Amino acid sequence: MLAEGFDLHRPSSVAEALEFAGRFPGEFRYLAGGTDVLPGLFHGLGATRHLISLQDIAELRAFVPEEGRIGAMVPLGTLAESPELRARFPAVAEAARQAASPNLRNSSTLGGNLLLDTRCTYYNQSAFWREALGYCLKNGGEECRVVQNRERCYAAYCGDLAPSLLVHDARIEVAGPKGRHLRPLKDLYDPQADGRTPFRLGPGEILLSVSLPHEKVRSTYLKLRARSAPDFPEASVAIALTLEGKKLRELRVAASGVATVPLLFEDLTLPLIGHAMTEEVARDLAEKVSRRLHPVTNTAFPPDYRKHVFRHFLMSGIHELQSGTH
Amino acid sequence: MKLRVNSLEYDLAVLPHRLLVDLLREDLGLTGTKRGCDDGSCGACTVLVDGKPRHSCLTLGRLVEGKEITTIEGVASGDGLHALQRAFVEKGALQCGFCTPGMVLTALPLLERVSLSEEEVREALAGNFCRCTGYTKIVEAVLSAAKARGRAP
Repeated sequence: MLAEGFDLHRPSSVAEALEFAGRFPGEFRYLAGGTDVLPGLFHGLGATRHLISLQDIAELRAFVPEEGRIGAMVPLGTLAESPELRARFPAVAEAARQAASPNLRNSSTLGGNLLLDTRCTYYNQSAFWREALGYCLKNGGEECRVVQNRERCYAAYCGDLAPSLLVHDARIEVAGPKGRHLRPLKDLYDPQADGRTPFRLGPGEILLSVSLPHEKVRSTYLKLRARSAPDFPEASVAIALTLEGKKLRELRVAASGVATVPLLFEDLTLPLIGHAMTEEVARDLAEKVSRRLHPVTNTAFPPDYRKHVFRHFLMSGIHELQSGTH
Repeated sequence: MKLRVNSLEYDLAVLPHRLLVDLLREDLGLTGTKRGCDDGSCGACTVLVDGKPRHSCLTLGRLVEGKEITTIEGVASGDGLHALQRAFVEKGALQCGFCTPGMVLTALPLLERVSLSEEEVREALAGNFCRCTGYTKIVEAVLSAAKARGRAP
Protein backbone atom coordinates (compact mmCIF):
# COMPACT_ATOMS: atom_id res chain seq x y z
CA MET A 1 0.00 0.00 0.00
CA LEU A 2 1.09 3.49 -0.81
CA ALA A 3 0.58 6.12 1.86
CA GLU A 4 -1.60 9.10 0.99
CA GLY A 5 -0.27 12.60 1.16
CA PHE A 6 1.70 13.33 -1.96
CA ASP A 7 0.86 15.13 -5.17
CA LEU A 8 1.59 13.66 -8.59
CA HIS A 9 2.69 15.98 -11.37
CA ARG A 10 2.91 15.16 -15.06
CA PRO A 11 5.04 17.70 -16.93
CA SER A 12 5.13 17.28 -20.71
CA SER A 13 8.47 18.98 -21.27
CA VAL A 14 11.85 19.20 -19.55
CA ALA A 15 11.30 22.92 -18.96
CA GLU A 16 8.00 22.21 -17.23
CA ALA A 17 9.59 19.46 -15.08
CA LEU A 18 12.31 21.90 -13.97
CA GLU A 19 9.62 24.44 -13.18
CA PHE A 20 7.86 21.96 -10.87
CA ALA A 21 11.18 21.09 -9.25
CA GLY A 22 11.89 24.77 -8.67
CA ARG A 23 8.51 25.27 -7.07
CA PHE A 24 9.02 22.52 -4.45
CA PRO A 25 12.67 22.74 -3.36
CA GLY A 26 13.68 19.77 -1.22
CA GLU A 27 10.16 18.35 -1.30
CA PHE A 28 10.03 16.43 -4.57
CA ARG A 29 11.34 13.36 -6.31
CA TYR A 30 11.39 12.58 -10.00
CA LEU A 31 9.60 9.37 -10.94
CA ALA A 32 10.80 7.31 -13.92
CA GLY A 33 9.45 3.75 -14.30
CA GLY A 34 8.63 3.49 -10.60
CA THR A 35 9.82 -0.10 -10.16
CA ASP A 36 12.29 0.88 -7.44
CA VAL A 37 10.87 4.17 -6.13
CA LEU A 38 7.39 2.70 -5.44
CA PRO A 39 8.53 -0.40 -3.47
CA GLY A 40 10.63 2.02 -1.39
CA LEU A 41 7.65 4.27 -0.76
CA PHE A 42 5.53 1.28 0.32
CA HIS A 43 8.00 0.89 3.19
CA GLY A 44 8.33 4.59 3.93
CA LEU A 45 11.72 4.90 2.22
CA GLY A 46 12.29 8.17 0.39
CA ALA A 47 8.90 9.64 1.28
CA THR A 48 8.19 12.96 -0.40
CA ARG A 49 5.46 15.60 -0.86
CA HIS A 50 5.64 15.74 -4.65
CA LEU A 51 6.29 13.07 -7.25
CA ILE A 52 7.16 14.51 -10.66
CA SER A 53 6.57 11.84 -13.29
CA LEU A 54 8.82 12.05 -16.34
CA GLN A 55 6.77 9.62 -18.44
CA ASP A 56 5.03 12.23 -20.62
CA ILE A 57 8.21 13.95 -21.79
CA ALA A 58 8.61 12.71 -25.38
CA GLU A 59 12.23 13.91 -25.63
CA LEU A 60 13.31 11.45 -22.91
CA ARG A 61 11.89 8.51 -24.88
CA ALA A 62 14.03 9.04 -27.99
CA PHE A 63 16.01 5.93 -28.94
CA VAL A 64 18.47 5.98 -31.88
CA PRO A 65 20.62 2.85 -31.43
CA GLU A 66 22.46 3.39 -34.76
CA GLU A 67 23.82 6.64 -33.35
CA GLY A 68 24.24 5.38 -29.80
CA ARG A 69 21.70 7.81 -28.36
CA ILE A 70 19.33 6.58 -25.66
CA GLY A 71 16.81 8.77 -23.84
CA ALA A 72 16.70 8.37 -20.07
CA MET A 73 13.06 7.19 -20.13
CA VAL A 74 13.62 4.40 -22.67
CA PRO A 75 12.46 1.14 -21.04
CA LEU A 76 15.15 -1.47 -20.38
CA GLY A 77 13.08 -3.95 -22.41
CA THR A 78 13.55 -1.81 -25.51
CA LEU A 79 17.33 -1.93 -24.98
CA ALA A 80 17.31 -5.67 -24.32
CA GLU A 81 15.43 -6.40 -27.55
CA SER A 82 17.21 -4.03 -29.93
CA PRO A 83 19.33 -5.93 -32.51
CA GLU A 84 21.05 -2.65 -33.52
CA LEU A 85 22.11 -1.98 -29.93
CA ARG A 86 23.35 -5.56 -29.53
CA ALA A 87 25.40 -5.32 -32.73
CA ARG A 88 27.12 -2.07 -31.73
CA PHE A 89 27.16 -2.11 -27.94
CA PRO A 90 26.78 -5.77 -26.92
CA ALA A 91 27.49 -5.28 -23.21
CA VAL A 92 24.76 -2.62 -22.97
CA ALA A 93 22.11 -4.84 -24.57
CA GLU A 94 23.26 -7.79 -22.45
CA ALA A 95 23.11 -5.79 -19.20
CA ALA A 96 19.57 -4.71 -20.09
CA ARG A 97 18.62 -8.32 -20.84
CA GLN A 98 19.91 -9.44 -17.45
CA ALA A 99 18.35 -6.58 -15.48
CA ALA A 100 15.26 -7.21 -13.32
CA SER A 101 12.73 -9.47 -15.10
CA PRO A 102 11.17 -9.32 -18.57
CA ASN A 103 7.94 -7.73 -17.32
CA LEU A 104 9.69 -5.26 -15.01
CA ARG A 105 11.77 -4.17 -17.99
CA ASN A 106 8.60 -2.90 -19.68
CA SER A 107 8.37 -0.29 -16.90
CA SER A 108 11.91 0.25 -15.64
CA THR A 109 14.02 2.77 -17.52
CA LEU A 110 17.64 3.47 -18.39
CA GLY A 111 17.73 6.67 -16.34
CA GLY A 112 16.11 4.98 -13.35
CA ASN A 113 18.68 2.20 -13.48
CA LEU A 114 21.64 4.61 -13.71
CA LEU A 115 20.32 6.51 -10.69
CA LEU A 116 19.15 3.41 -8.81
CA ASP A 117 19.20 4.00 -5.07
CA THR A 118 21.89 2.03 -3.27
CA ARG A 119 20.76 -1.14 -1.51
CA CYS A 120 21.43 -2.90 1.77
CA THR A 121 19.87 -5.79 3.70
CA TYR A 122 19.48 -3.39 6.63
CA TYR A 123 17.79 -0.69 4.55
CA ASN A 124 15.48 -2.40 2.06
CA GLN A 125 13.17 -3.69 4.78
CA SER A 126 9.72 -2.88 6.12
CA ALA A 127 9.23 0.13 8.39
CA PHE A 128 8.55 -2.23 11.32
CA TRP A 129 11.74 -4.21 10.71
CA ARG A 130 13.90 -1.07 10.49
CA GLU A 131 12.36 0.51 13.57
CA ALA A 132 12.73 -2.69 15.60
CA LEU A 133 16.48 -2.80 15.03
CA GLY A 134 17.02 0.95 15.23
CA TYR A 135 17.54 3.03 12.11
CA CYS A 136 20.78 2.78 10.17
CA LEU A 137 22.84 5.65 8.75
CA LYS A 138 21.06 5.62 5.38
CA ASN A 139 17.74 5.76 7.19
CA GLY A 140 18.70 8.81 9.29
CA GLY A 141 20.05 6.78 12.21
CA GLU A 142 23.43 7.13 13.90
CA GLU A 143 25.18 3.88 13.19
CA CYS A 144 25.82 1.58 10.25
CA ARG A 145 24.53 -1.96 10.94
CA VAL A 146 26.87 -3.68 8.49
CA VAL A 147 30.24 -2.15 9.30
CA GLN A 148 30.06 -0.83 12.86
CA ASN A 149 30.77 2.87 12.47
CA ARG A 150 29.09 6.25 12.69
CA GLU A 151 30.46 7.95 9.59
CA ARG A 152 30.22 5.86 6.45
CA CYS A 153 27.22 4.13 4.85
CA TYR A 154 28.15 0.99 2.89
CA ALA A 155 24.94 0.46 0.89
CA ALA A 156 25.78 -1.10 -2.47
CA TYR A 157 25.18 0.39 -5.88
CA CYS A 158 23.36 -2.35 -7.83
CA GLY A 159 22.46 -0.84 -11.19
CA ASP A 160 23.05 -3.22 -14.12
CA LEU A 161 23.52 -0.70 -16.92
CA ALA A 162 26.24 1.58 -15.52
CA PRO A 163 29.25 -0.78 -15.91
CA SER A 164 28.44 -1.56 -19.56
CA LEU A 165 27.91 2.10 -20.40
CA LEU A 166 31.15 3.01 -18.59
CA VAL A 167 33.25 0.56 -20.60
CA HIS A 168 31.66 1.98 -23.75
CA ASP A 169 32.80 5.45 -22.66
CA ALA A 170 29.28 6.88 -22.40
CA ARG A 171 28.46 10.54 -21.94
CA ILE A 172 25.31 11.88 -20.39
CA GLU A 173 23.25 14.98 -20.98
CA VAL A 174 21.85 16.67 -17.91
CA ALA A 175 19.38 19.57 -17.63
CA GLY A 176 19.17 21.83 -14.62
CA PRO A 177 18.01 25.27 -13.60
CA LYS A 178 21.13 26.74 -15.26
CA GLY A 179 20.72 24.99 -18.60
CA ARG A 180 21.94 21.80 -20.25
CA HIS A 181 25.39 20.22 -20.27
CA LEU A 182 27.20 17.08 -21.39
CA ARG A 183 29.62 15.17 -19.21
CA PRO A 184 31.21 11.73 -18.92
CA LEU A 185 28.93 9.17 -17.25
CA LYS A 186 31.69 8.34 -14.76
CA ASP A 187 31.32 11.86 -13.31
CA LEU A 188 27.75 11.04 -12.30
CA TYR A 189 29.13 8.84 -9.51
CA ASP A 190 31.12 10.15 -6.57
CA PRO A 191 33.46 7.50 -5.12
CA GLN A 192 34.29 9.81 -2.20
CA ALA A 193 30.66 10.05 -1.11
CA ASP A 194 29.17 7.18 0.85
CA GLY A 195 26.18 4.95 0.17
CA ARG A 196 23.59 7.54 1.19
CA THR A 197 23.75 9.67 -1.96
CA PRO A 198 26.61 8.67 -4.25
CA PHE A 199 25.31 10.69 -7.23
CA ARG A 200 26.66 13.99 -8.47
CA LEU A 201 23.45 15.69 -9.51
CA GLY A 202 22.50 19.20 -8.43
CA PRO A 203 19.08 20.07 -6.98
CA GLY A 204 16.41 19.66 -9.66
CA GLU A 205 18.80 18.33 -12.29
CA ILE A 206 17.36 15.74 -14.69
CA LEU A 207 19.32 13.05 -16.51
CA LEU A 208 18.12 13.42 -20.11
CA SER A 209 20.02 10.92 -22.22
CA VAL A 210 23.11 8.80 -22.73
CA SER A 211 25.28 8.90 -25.83
CA LEU A 212 27.82 6.30 -26.88
CA PRO A 213 30.75 6.81 -29.25
CA HIS A 214 30.44 5.23 -32.69
CA GLU A 215 33.55 3.07 -32.86
CA LYS A 216 32.97 -0.64 -32.79
CA VAL A 217 34.22 -2.25 -29.59
CA ARG A 218 33.74 -5.81 -28.49
CA SER A 219 32.17 -6.04 -25.08
CA THR A 220 30.40 -8.33 -22.66
CA TYR A 221 28.55 -8.26 -19.32
CA LEU A 222 28.55 -10.99 -16.68
CA LYS A 223 26.33 -10.93 -13.62
CA LEU A 224 26.17 -12.92 -10.39
CA ARG A 225 22.74 -13.41 -8.82
CA ALA A 226 20.75 -16.14 -7.11
CA ARG A 227 17.92 -16.34 -9.66
CA SER A 228 17.81 -15.48 -13.35
CA ALA A 229 15.09 -12.93 -12.49
CA PRO A 230 14.48 -10.47 -10.92
CA ASP A 231 17.57 -10.18 -8.71
CA PHE A 232 19.93 -7.23 -8.51
CA PRO A 233 23.61 -7.98 -9.21
CA GLU A 234 25.53 -9.47 -6.27
CA ALA A 235 28.59 -8.60 -8.33
CA SER A 236 28.85 -7.89 -12.03
CA VAL A 237 31.52 -6.99 -14.54
CA ALA A 238 31.48 -5.29 -17.93
CA ILE A 239 34.48 -5.59 -20.22
CA ALA A 240 35.25 -3.84 -23.52
CA LEU A 241 38.20 -5.18 -25.43
CA THR A 242 39.56 -4.66 -28.94
CA LEU A 243 42.68 -6.24 -30.36
CA GLU A 244 45.01 -5.03 -33.10
CA GLY A 245 46.76 -8.14 -34.22
CA LYS A 246 47.73 -9.73 -30.92
CA LYS A 247 47.93 -6.46 -29.04
CA LEU A 248 45.32 -4.60 -27.05
CA ARG A 249 43.98 -1.51 -28.77
CA GLU A 250 41.34 -0.94 -26.14
CA LEU A 251 40.51 -2.39 -22.75
CA ARG A 252 38.09 -1.17 -20.12
CA VAL A 253 36.69 -2.96 -17.09
CA ALA A 254 33.86 -1.82 -14.79
CA ALA A 255 31.98 -3.34 -11.87
CA SER A 256 28.64 -3.07 -10.09
CA GLY A 257 27.22 -4.50 -6.87
CA VAL A 258 30.53 -4.38 -5.01
CA ALA A 259 30.83 -0.78 -3.77
CA THR A 260 28.72 2.31 -3.13
CA VAL A 261 29.23 3.35 -6.78
CA PRO A 262 29.96 1.53 -10.05
CA LEU A 263 33.72 1.26 -10.46
CA LEU A 264 35.81 1.84 -13.60
CA PHE A 265 39.41 0.63 -13.40
CA GLU A 266 41.09 2.88 -15.97
CA ASP A 267 44.40 3.15 -14.12
CA LEU A 268 44.76 -0.65 -14.15
CA THR A 269 43.78 -1.20 -17.79
CA LEU A 270 45.48 1.79 -19.50
CA PRO A 271 49.05 0.48 -18.93
CA LEU A 272 48.07 -2.72 -20.76
CA ILE A 273 47.17 -0.99 -24.04
CA GLY A 274 49.64 -1.89 -26.78
CA HIS A 275 50.64 -5.13 -25.05
CA ALA A 276 49.51 -8.69 -25.69
CA MET A 277 46.71 -10.04 -23.49
CA THR A 278 48.15 -13.33 -22.29
CA GLU A 279 46.62 -15.67 -19.74
CA GLU A 280 49.13 -14.35 -17.23
CA VAL A 281 48.29 -10.68 -17.87
CA ALA A 282 44.58 -11.47 -17.51
CA ARG A 283 45.17 -13.25 -14.21
CA ASP A 284 47.31 -10.41 -12.92
CA LEU A 285 44.64 -7.86 -13.90
CA ALA A 286 41.88 -9.92 -12.27
CA GLU A 287 43.96 -10.06 -9.09
CA LYS A 288 44.61 -6.31 -9.04
CA VAL A 289 41.00 -5.41 -9.80
CA SER A 290 39.60 -7.74 -7.16
CA ARG A 291 41.90 -6.17 -4.55
CA ARG A 292 40.02 -2.92 -5.21
CA LEU A 293 36.63 -4.46 -4.42
CA HIS A 294 35.42 -4.20 -0.89
CA PRO A 295 32.03 -5.87 -0.82
CA VAL A 296 30.52 -6.07 2.68
CA THR A 297 27.87 -8.32 4.19
CA ASN A 298 24.85 -6.36 2.95
CA THR A 299 23.50 -8.48 0.10
CA ALA A 300 22.40 -12.14 -0.17
CA PHE A 301 25.83 -13.69 -0.86
CA PRO A 302 28.96 -13.51 1.33
CA PRO A 303 31.55 -10.89 0.30
CA ASP A 304 34.34 -13.42 -0.33
CA TYR A 305 32.16 -15.39 -2.70
CA ARG A 306 31.17 -12.25 -4.62
CA LYS A 307 34.86 -11.36 -5.02
CA HIS A 308 35.78 -14.87 -6.04
CA VAL A 309 33.11 -15.04 -8.73
CA PHE A 310 33.97 -11.55 -9.92
CA ARG A 311 37.57 -12.64 -10.52
CA HIS A 312 36.37 -15.67 -12.44
CA PHE A 313 33.93 -13.55 -14.50
CA LEU A 314 36.67 -11.11 -15.42
CA MET A 315 39.00 -13.87 -16.61
CA SER A 316 36.35 -15.73 -18.57
CA GLY A 317 34.95 -12.50 -20.05
CA ILE A 318 38.38 -11.52 -21.35
CA HIS A 319 38.85 -15.01 -22.74
CA GLU A 320 35.47 -14.91 -24.47
CA LEU A 321 36.13 -11.52 -26.09
CA GLN A 322 39.59 -12.59 -27.26
CA SER A 323 38.42 -15.81 -28.80
CA GLY A 324 35.94 -13.80 -30.86
CA THR A 325 32.80 -15.62 -29.86
CA HIS A 326 31.19 -12.16 -29.68
CA MET B 1 -10.12 10.29 -15.09
CA LYS B 2 -10.95 7.72 -17.77
CA LEU B 3 -9.61 4.21 -17.41
CA ARG B 4 -9.92 1.73 -20.29
CA VAL B 5 -10.05 -1.87 -19.09
CA ASN B 6 -10.88 -4.84 -21.31
CA SER B 7 -12.27 -2.51 -23.98
CA LEU B 8 -14.66 -0.81 -21.56
CA GLU B 9 -14.23 2.78 -20.46
CA TYR B 10 -14.69 3.71 -16.80
CA ASP B 11 -14.94 7.15 -15.22
CA LEU B 12 -13.10 7.13 -11.90
CA ALA B 13 -11.93 9.63 -9.34
CA VAL B 14 -8.35 8.52 -8.63
CA LEU B 15 -6.16 9.88 -5.84
CA PRO B 16 -2.42 10.16 -6.61
CA HIS B 17 -1.40 7.30 -4.31
CA ARG B 18 -3.81 4.69 -5.72
CA LEU B 19 -2.20 1.82 -7.57
CA LEU B 20 -3.57 0.19 -10.69
CA VAL B 21 -3.99 -3.13 -8.86
CA ASP B 22 -6.28 -1.46 -6.31
CA LEU B 23 -8.36 0.34 -8.93
CA LEU B 24 -8.91 -2.98 -10.69
CA ARG B 25 -9.68 -5.05 -7.60
CA GLU B 26 -11.47 -2.57 -5.34
CA ASP B 27 -13.09 0.00 -7.64
CA LEU B 28 -13.92 -2.24 -10.59
CA GLY B 29 -14.28 -5.56 -8.75
CA LEU B 30 -11.90 -7.29 -11.16
CA THR B 31 -10.33 -9.54 -8.54
CA GLY B 32 -8.70 -11.87 -11.07
CA THR B 33 -5.62 -9.67 -10.81
CA LYS B 34 -3.73 -10.77 -7.69
CA ARG B 35 -1.65 -8.74 -5.32
CA GLY B 36 1.42 -10.70 -4.28
CA CYS B 37 4.79 -9.38 -3.16
CA ASP B 38 4.43 -5.60 -3.62
CA ASP B 39 7.96 -5.28 -4.93
CA GLY B 40 8.02 -6.67 -8.44
CA SER B 41 9.38 -10.10 -7.53
CA CYS B 42 6.39 -12.38 -8.06
CA GLY B 43 4.47 -11.24 -11.15
CA ALA B 44 1.03 -12.20 -9.75
CA CYS B 45 -0.32 -8.69 -10.44
CA THR B 46 0.68 -8.70 -14.13
CA VAL B 47 -1.74 -7.04 -16.54
CA LEU B 48 -1.26 -5.86 -20.11
CA VAL B 49 -0.80 -2.12 -20.59
CA ASP B 50 -1.02 -1.28 -24.29
CA GLY B 51 -0.26 -4.94 -24.99
CA LYS B 52 2.82 -5.22 -22.75
CA PRO B 53 2.90 -7.13 -19.45
CA ARG B 54 3.43 -4.79 -16.52
CA HIS B 55 3.13 -5.01 -12.75
CA SER B 56 -0.15 -3.38 -11.69
CA CYS B 57 1.10 -3.16 -8.08
CA LEU B 58 4.00 -0.93 -9.23
CA THR B 59 1.91 1.30 -11.47
CA LEU B 60 0.21 4.47 -10.28
CA GLY B 61 -3.41 4.51 -11.51
CA ARG B 62 -3.20 8.07 -12.80
CA LEU B 63 -0.26 7.24 -15.02
CA VAL B 64 -2.21 4.74 -17.15
CA GLU B 65 -4.94 7.20 -18.08
CA GLY B 66 -5.74 6.75 -21.77
CA LYS B 67 -3.90 3.43 -22.04
CA GLU B 68 -5.56 0.10 -22.86
CA ILE B 69 -5.50 -2.29 -19.90
CA THR B 70 -6.17 -6.01 -20.29
CA THR B 71 -6.80 -8.12 -17.21
CA ILE B 72 -7.43 -11.86 -16.98
CA GLU B 73 -11.20 -11.13 -17.15
CA GLY B 74 -10.66 -9.75 -20.65
CA VAL B 75 -8.76 -12.73 -22.06
CA ALA B 76 -11.66 -15.12 -22.70
CA SER B 77 -14.30 -14.12 -25.24
CA GLY B 78 -17.98 -14.82 -24.58
CA ASP B 79 -18.43 -18.08 -22.68
CA GLY B 80 -15.37 -19.80 -24.13
CA LEU B 81 -11.91 -19.80 -22.64
CA HIS B 82 -9.02 -18.45 -24.70
CA ALA B 83 -6.92 -21.19 -26.33
CA LEU B 84 -4.09 -20.38 -23.92
CA GLN B 85 -6.38 -20.77 -20.90
CA ARG B 86 -7.65 -24.09 -22.31
CA ALA B 87 -4.06 -25.24 -22.69
CA PHE B 88 -3.43 -24.39 -19.00
CA VAL B 89 -6.42 -26.54 -18.02
CA GLU B 90 -5.54 -29.43 -20.35
CA LYS B 91 -1.89 -29.56 -19.27
CA GLY B 92 -2.67 -29.23 -15.57
CA ALA B 93 -0.66 -26.01 -15.40
CA LEU B 94 -2.37 -24.68 -12.30
CA GLN B 95 -3.03 -25.80 -8.78
CA CYS B 96 -3.99 -23.03 -6.38
CA GLY B 97 -4.36 -20.61 -9.29
CA PHE B 98 -2.91 -17.55 -7.60
CA CYS B 99 -0.12 -17.06 -10.12
CA THR B 100 -2.21 -18.13 -13.12
CA PRO B 101 -3.65 -14.75 -14.20
CA GLY B 102 -0.13 -13.29 -14.23
CA MET B 103 1.25 -16.33 -16.05
CA VAL B 104 -1.46 -16.17 -18.73
CA LEU B 105 -1.06 -12.44 -19.30
CA THR B 106 2.72 -12.72 -19.47
CA ALA B 107 2.47 -15.60 -21.95
CA LEU B 108 -0.27 -14.08 -24.12
CA PRO B 109 1.97 -11.72 -26.14
CA LEU B 110 4.39 -14.62 -26.77
CA LEU B 111 1.77 -16.26 -28.98
CA GLU B 112 2.13 -13.36 -31.44
CA ARG B 113 5.78 -14.21 -32.10
CA VAL B 114 6.69 -15.83 -35.40
CA SER B 115 8.24 -18.76 -33.59
CA LEU B 116 8.61 -19.75 -29.96
CA SER B 117 11.10 -22.06 -28.29
CA GLU B 118 10.99 -23.61 -24.83
CA GLU B 119 13.95 -21.48 -23.81
CA GLU B 120 12.14 -18.30 -24.85
CA VAL B 121 9.08 -19.28 -22.82
CA ARG B 122 11.20 -19.99 -19.76
CA GLU B 123 13.00 -16.68 -20.11
CA ALA B 124 9.77 -14.70 -20.59
CA LEU B 125 8.18 -16.32 -17.50
CA ALA B 126 11.27 -15.94 -15.32
CA GLY B 127 9.71 -13.09 -13.33
CA ASN B 128 6.46 -14.94 -12.58
CA PHE B 129 6.64 -17.19 -9.56
CA CYS B 130 4.58 -20.34 -9.07
CA ARG B 131 4.77 -21.98 -5.65
CA CYS B 132 2.63 -25.07 -6.40
CA THR B 133 3.12 -26.95 -9.64
CA GLY B 134 6.59 -25.98 -10.63
CA TYR B 135 7.09 -24.64 -14.08
CA THR B 136 7.21 -27.66 -16.38
CA LYS B 137 3.47 -27.85 -17.00
CA ILE B 138 3.12 -24.10 -17.37
CA VAL B 139 5.82 -24.07 -20.04
CA GLU B 140 4.17 -27.06 -21.72
CA ALA B 141 0.82 -25.25 -21.77
CA VAL B 142 2.27 -22.13 -23.39
CA LEU B 143 4.14 -24.20 -25.98
CA SER B 144 1.08 -26.27 -26.78
CA ALA B 145 -1.01 -23.11 -27.34
CA ALA B 146 1.75 -21.75 -29.58
CA LYS B 147 1.93 -25.06 -31.42
CA ALA B 148 -1.82 -25.02 -32.06
CA ARG B 149 -1.20 -21.73 -33.87
CA GLY B 150 1.72 -23.18 -35.78
CA ARG B 151 4.25 -21.00 -33.89
CA ALA B 152 6.16 -23.69 -31.98
CA PRO B 153 7.63 -27.09 -32.93
